[in-house]
Amino acid sequence: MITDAFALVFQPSVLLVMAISGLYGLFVGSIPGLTATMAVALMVPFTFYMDPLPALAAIVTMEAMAIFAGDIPGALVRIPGTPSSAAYTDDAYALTQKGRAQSVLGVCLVFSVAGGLFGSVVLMIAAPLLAQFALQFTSYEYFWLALLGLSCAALVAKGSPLKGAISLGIGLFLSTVGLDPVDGYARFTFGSADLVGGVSFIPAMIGLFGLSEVIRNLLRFDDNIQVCQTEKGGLFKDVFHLLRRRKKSLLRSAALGTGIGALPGAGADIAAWISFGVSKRCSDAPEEYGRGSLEGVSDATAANNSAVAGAWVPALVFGIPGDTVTAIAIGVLLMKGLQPGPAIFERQPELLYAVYIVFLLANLLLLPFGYLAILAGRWVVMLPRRILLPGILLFCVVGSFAINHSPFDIGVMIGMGLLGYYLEANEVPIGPIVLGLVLGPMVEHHFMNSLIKSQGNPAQFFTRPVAGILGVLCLLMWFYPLFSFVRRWRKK
Amino acid sequence: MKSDRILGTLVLIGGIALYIATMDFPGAASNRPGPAFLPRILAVLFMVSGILLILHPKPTGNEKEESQPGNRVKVAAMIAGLVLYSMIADITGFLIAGGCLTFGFCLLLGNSWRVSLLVTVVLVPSVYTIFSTVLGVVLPVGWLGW
Repeated sequence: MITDAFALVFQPSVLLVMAISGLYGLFVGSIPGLTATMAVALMVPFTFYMDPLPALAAIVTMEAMAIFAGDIPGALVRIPGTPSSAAYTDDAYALTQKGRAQSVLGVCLVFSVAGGLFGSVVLMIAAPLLAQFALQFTSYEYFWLALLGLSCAALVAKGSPLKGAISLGIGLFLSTVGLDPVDGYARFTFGSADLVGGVSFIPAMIGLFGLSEVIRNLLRFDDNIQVCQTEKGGLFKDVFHLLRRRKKSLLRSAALGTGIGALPGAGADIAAWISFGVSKRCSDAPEEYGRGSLEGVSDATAANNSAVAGAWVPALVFGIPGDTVTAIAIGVLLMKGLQPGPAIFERQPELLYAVYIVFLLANLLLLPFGYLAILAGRWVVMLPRRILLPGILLFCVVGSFAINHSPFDIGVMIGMGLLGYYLEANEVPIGPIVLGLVLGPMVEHHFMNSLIKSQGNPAQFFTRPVAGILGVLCLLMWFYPLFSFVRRWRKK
Repeated sequence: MKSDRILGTLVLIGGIALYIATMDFPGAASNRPGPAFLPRILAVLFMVSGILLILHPKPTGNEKEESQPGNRVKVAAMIAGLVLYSMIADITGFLIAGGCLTFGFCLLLGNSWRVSLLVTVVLVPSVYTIFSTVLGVVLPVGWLGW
């Protein structure tokens, strides 16, 4: 059966499809505003003409490459190519500003590959078990998980925790704009039809990270300086040392990423945020996080790539999509007359094994393809600012417009750019705004649903075992600073 | 310290405004809070944070941005250009609106008109072709698009 699967994958046509979709994924992922989901959606018409395996191989390879490629513009020009890179964009860019663009991208590449391979192995070994676990999650567990993610904002924020809380509050407030999740009441829309659907996440992210950086550059503009210098010593200078030193962290991040990816509705972006937060909490140098921590970048980038494979666990085992990309993939399988779920294990095991092999191969292909993409991207940092900035501005505009085809989103990008610049000038971190925007709807939706289910009884939030553990973890995270203060005080 | 107090005041005012804005929202049902629940929690968070920032401002050290003289005008011009773009792009199309934006921004950055023209002529049609033709993302077609 395994040999049949190998024979299915190692056909010239499948390998060619993987190569082309890999290049496409790298290209799309590195363009701010174009997400992996959008890229897969655009690819669907081409999969009409493919057999099931090449169609799935195209989607898997494209997604793995796109999630990594999002790191490239994040590190070079501070605009995350996909939302999954937002958690560590500040750190990656800070390292680029210190002349370490090559190091940080080398680390992103190798740790992405390692995370992706880990997720693929977990998919092969533990898919049914993980899927069973993920399916037991109800609104209570999701609420605590999202709250745990929000609590990470306090961990990932650089500088003052108070300013981190303000930033998170702004993100949460923006997430409340539009129809409320239970009653459908229009909140803070001011009669605008554009605001009924809420503040769009992509333009907000591009404005916060990209336009605010353009404004900062323009305010300090000097004709003669370049964006930054790149260091000598090669792409993998820090990689092997970091791999040796952080084996356990890599495993922890990849396991976290795969687990979070396997939860329907949670995705690579949430995995990256939580992994970054946990990494900071476990680090010996937490003060470096937010200012250029290679450790934080490596942990988060491993998590988001491992989450890609994690999302396929419920999709393949139960036919329940783990994220939007797997939702499209399930659609493609159904279009081909295949029903994902337990039956596929019995009826077409060779196809399932072939998908596992595709996952491994796609992540291995990422190494040479990603290397070439980084070499190409290196030229970007060597361009003079007065040539580079107009290009960045144009990509900010097009990226904001592309997702909804609405000029209103350009307005959102402008507003967020000004807000981001003002907040950063006052040492307020902008990362938690993005986290609030991502997790705000999830927290509110699951909180309301849980209350309705429990007839307004908050004790129900702790009665289920997993919910109870997540809830206690959350409370520990909030009260830990208080405990440590009391302990220090008693020692004195 | 002064900037923290200004920020604190803005956050406090924002919190109060947010609370007032939620007063018209429908009330809670018997088994759950209403649509005002999360915004009101946030309003209280903003008010408390604002007061704390005003009372305990932190010294900001060396973080203040040093802007070149006249660069604030350039930022204002860039924002005006972006607003103008969002207003005219649907009518004129991406090529003209994006071209004007890029050309103007290049000039703003001190490029000569020849370099600005070259950057515009290379960049704008390339971006349009990549998005519209290769990726299938619809950009405003307008007068010159294809």
